Amino acid sequence: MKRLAAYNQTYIMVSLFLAVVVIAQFLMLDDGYFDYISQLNANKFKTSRYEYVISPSDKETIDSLLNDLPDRVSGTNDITIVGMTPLDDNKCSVITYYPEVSSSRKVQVINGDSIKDLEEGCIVCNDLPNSAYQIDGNNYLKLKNDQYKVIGIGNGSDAYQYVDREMGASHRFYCVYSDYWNITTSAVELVFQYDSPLSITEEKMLQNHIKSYTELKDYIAPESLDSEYRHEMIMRFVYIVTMVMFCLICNYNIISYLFFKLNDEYQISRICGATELRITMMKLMDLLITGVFASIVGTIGYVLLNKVAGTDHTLPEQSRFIAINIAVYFVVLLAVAGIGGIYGRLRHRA
Amino acid sequence: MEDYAIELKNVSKTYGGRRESKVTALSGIDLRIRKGEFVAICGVSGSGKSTLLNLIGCLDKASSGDVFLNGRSVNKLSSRSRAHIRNSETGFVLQDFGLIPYRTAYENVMLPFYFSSKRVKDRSSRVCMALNSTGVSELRSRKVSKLSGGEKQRVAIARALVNDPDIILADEPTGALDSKTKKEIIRLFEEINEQGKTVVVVTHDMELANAAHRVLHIKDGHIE
Repeated sequence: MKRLAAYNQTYIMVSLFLAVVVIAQFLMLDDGYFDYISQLNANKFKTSRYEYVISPSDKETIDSLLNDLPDRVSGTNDITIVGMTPLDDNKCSVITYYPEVSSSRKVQVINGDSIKDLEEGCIVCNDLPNSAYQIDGNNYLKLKNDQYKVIGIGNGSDAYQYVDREMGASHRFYCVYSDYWNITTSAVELVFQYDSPLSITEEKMLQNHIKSYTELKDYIAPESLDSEYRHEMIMRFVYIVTMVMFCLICNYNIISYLFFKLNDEYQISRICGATELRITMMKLMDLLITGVFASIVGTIGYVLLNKVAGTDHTLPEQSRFIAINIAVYFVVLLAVAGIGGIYGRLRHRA
Repeated sequence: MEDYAIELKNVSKTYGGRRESKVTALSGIDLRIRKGEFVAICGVSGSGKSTLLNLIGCLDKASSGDVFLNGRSVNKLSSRSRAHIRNSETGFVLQDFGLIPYRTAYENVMLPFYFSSKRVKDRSSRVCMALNSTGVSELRSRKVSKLSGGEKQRVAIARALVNDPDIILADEPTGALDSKTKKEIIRLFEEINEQGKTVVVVTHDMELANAAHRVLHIKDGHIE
């Protein structure tokens, strides 16, 4: 009975531990700490919107676009830099790389507090949505929703999902990206979008989507933002379900490993002449096979549901996910089995 | 000198590591069971009957004293040697049958061969013979979970017999059976004993005990 009580206690403890891990991972998704998952979340946008990428060397097109902006939206075309720390190298890279842009327009630097004072049609450089979110949250964007057509220049990642939801497809939201989210290159990639916020895309992927500025003029984003939001939620739901399933299997296996002497199969094997070592090896093999199986099934489910949700992860991304799943499984398994083993030895000595 | 299948000399068994929490399950047991004998061990719950059976069956080691099976001391044997004895020299029958429910009767009876250190060529026919000898050969491909209590116990006995061991050890083999099935199982044990095998059963059931040649009563870890 004592062993059974210990079994139940350990089961609950390990369950709680794994539940905390899963919840923590879910929470981390929002803040983008879990880089890989953030990347997956970010990348999903690229397939659902057209992207117009102009090479940094194509200054003619860039100038053409920037000069054309005043005709496309009413109001001033001054460049406004928004942010708490607006003048660091990264955030001002558009201006750094294209001095003619900054010289031809009035550059206004405002802090987050002044964000409500943005003029209609201004060009906003830097993390517009991030700043807006940090400073004023929904209020800012809703406040502007009815009266502003904002031109944004900036970078950022998760915040664009927020803009998506809050601003709605009816807005004409131009973003010129200086550098992209992982800031791994000194080259400046400019991404132009019409009627929608930008996606965050890797350099190689961007190169595959280069289109001319003339196409941009004719393009009208067809997708509703609701579907974007739905994709996002499905993505997260699938991820959580995958992890929960994974953890449950881990949990079952780990617990059954630690307490397998309680199992009927252990007793049956013993009376049939199996050595302890043989039974342990059998159990470990069972554990490994189930773990790999769970990883693969979880990953296939994840990939398939992503397809259903309309996202388009590349094979390397999916492979990485498989690798992460298996790695997580074995790390958890070894850690808990190790702790269980040490605990068992100590008890045995006592 | 008489040949004993089972011999226990001054055997004691204590559980628990710390001095104050030690529990003595058996104390100073001296027991001799001749080859081909049918012995029933009776006693109330917690008296030490199952512990005694586990020591005889090499499932557990005596804390002190010596256990001999067919004249060989088993207490100091390695884990592997003790497993070999469990596999080939003894057959176990348990109250709750000890079968894998999602496997067929045939697969369950085959199990000892899976753990056998020797490669047995005619194991399939031996499994069929064992199932036949316990009257469940027609159930060989049926999953254990689909069998009745009596059928399960017959399969369990077939498994105990499949490696042709000299000693059959049974722990409350009729405990989970109705009276009609119980009689059939008791008869089966008698038949096994008539074939020359040593049978030791731990039981509360006087009907089964009465079928034995000798009944031992155990109380508080001592044979009375």
